Amino acid sequence: MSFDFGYIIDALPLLLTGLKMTLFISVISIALSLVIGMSGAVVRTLKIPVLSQVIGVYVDVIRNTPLLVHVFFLYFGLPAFGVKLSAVAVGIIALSLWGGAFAAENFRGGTDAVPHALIESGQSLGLSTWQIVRHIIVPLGFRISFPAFSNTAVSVIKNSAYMTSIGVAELTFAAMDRIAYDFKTYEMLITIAVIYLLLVWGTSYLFGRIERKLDYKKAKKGRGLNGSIIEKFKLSPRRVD
Amino acid sequence: MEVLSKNLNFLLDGLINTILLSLSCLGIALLLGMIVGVLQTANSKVVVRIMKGYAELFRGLPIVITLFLVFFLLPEMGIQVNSYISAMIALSLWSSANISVAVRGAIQSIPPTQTEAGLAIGLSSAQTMRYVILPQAIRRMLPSVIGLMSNLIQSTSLSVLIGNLDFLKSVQLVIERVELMEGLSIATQMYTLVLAVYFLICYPLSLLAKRMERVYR
Repeated sequence: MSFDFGYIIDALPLLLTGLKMTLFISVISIALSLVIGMSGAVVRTLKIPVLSQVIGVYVDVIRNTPLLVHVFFLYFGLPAFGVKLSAVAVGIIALSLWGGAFAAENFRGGTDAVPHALIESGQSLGLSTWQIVRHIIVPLGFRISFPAFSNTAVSVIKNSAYMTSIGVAELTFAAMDRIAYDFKTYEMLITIAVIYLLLVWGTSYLFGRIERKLDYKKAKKGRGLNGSIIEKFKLSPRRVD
Repeated sequence: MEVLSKNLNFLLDGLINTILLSLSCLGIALLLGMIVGVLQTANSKVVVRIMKGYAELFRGLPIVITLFLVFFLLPEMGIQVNSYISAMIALSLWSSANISVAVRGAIQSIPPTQTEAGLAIGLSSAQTMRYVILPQAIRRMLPSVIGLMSNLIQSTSLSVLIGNLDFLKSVQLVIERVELMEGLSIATQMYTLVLAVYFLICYPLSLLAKRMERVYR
């Protein structure tokens, strides 16, 4: 079993188009899950009636059912209602909904940890609820819970490989398609494994840099943010898949 | 409903397959994860490096890729595996890597004075680990390990991609059969059923994990 490098170099352009699709889906989905997650977290922290229960159910359902089934449901189940989505659209929607549910939990850890005194002082200054959300809860909550969210974001990138099952032409699909052509299974799989590892480790490193930028480390020592916030929100950086 | 009663046995077979796969992965992953996690706190730098590399590797790879690697590459190396066995191997690798990190975190959260006390009363370092550190660490790692269990059960659905006949696959076959024989599309109802079944299995687990988190903090 020798590694055929020439073959891989020939196949690189194809893999590159696959990688582009993976990145495209991942970036959009991460952005959308950020929005969904943050709004969900704020709604649940403020305990807005009805809406907060709805989000609770959404988060529980998504977190306790497999992503692959969401994908199949959206792709094969929705056409019965007359909603026919392209594979790429299904990929983005499924990943965003999945990432959004996990991000909502991540961010809630942060928004819940914003000291109530800060919110009350905002109120006593005469800020509207929206201003309190915009200037107090979101910025503080985001900084506190960014490390947890970064794990979710990396998982979104990894899980974009699920979309190969409905034929989105992303990295895994491109590779498997090529394998069906010339049976260079060994070279191809090792190559995409390396690409995924570089991608995942690279993004983890990038998020690590952003975490430092956000002063999380300083905040922990009580210099940046109020140290008690971090104390209250004991971080358990574990990746979810 | 009629479809359901007609295919009940077939669907149940799939569900049993899923449960068996989950349980076997769980057993292997717990054992392997525990060993790797403990070794990550070992004194030898080389061992720690290797074990951390193992964890980083299988946490970094998408599960789909690990699955394909095992399923397609083991036969090329002369080891014959069917889809069930390769799903078992791949999911155990991934899950044990995640569990090992939880184990390491829990062990390192135990104050070092505990280790010193164990050594001071004359226990060997293995005995200290076994009788002093691990009993305390296991309680601390329980919530996250239960969370990972639920992730593992959900991830067994991925074995469909390499052709394992699990619950999701049996549902897909039923959908196809009904569509061919009767020209009816029951995809929406059937996938809702799958969602419901997974939810019923995983939701109690996540509730348990949440409760434990509250108890042990």
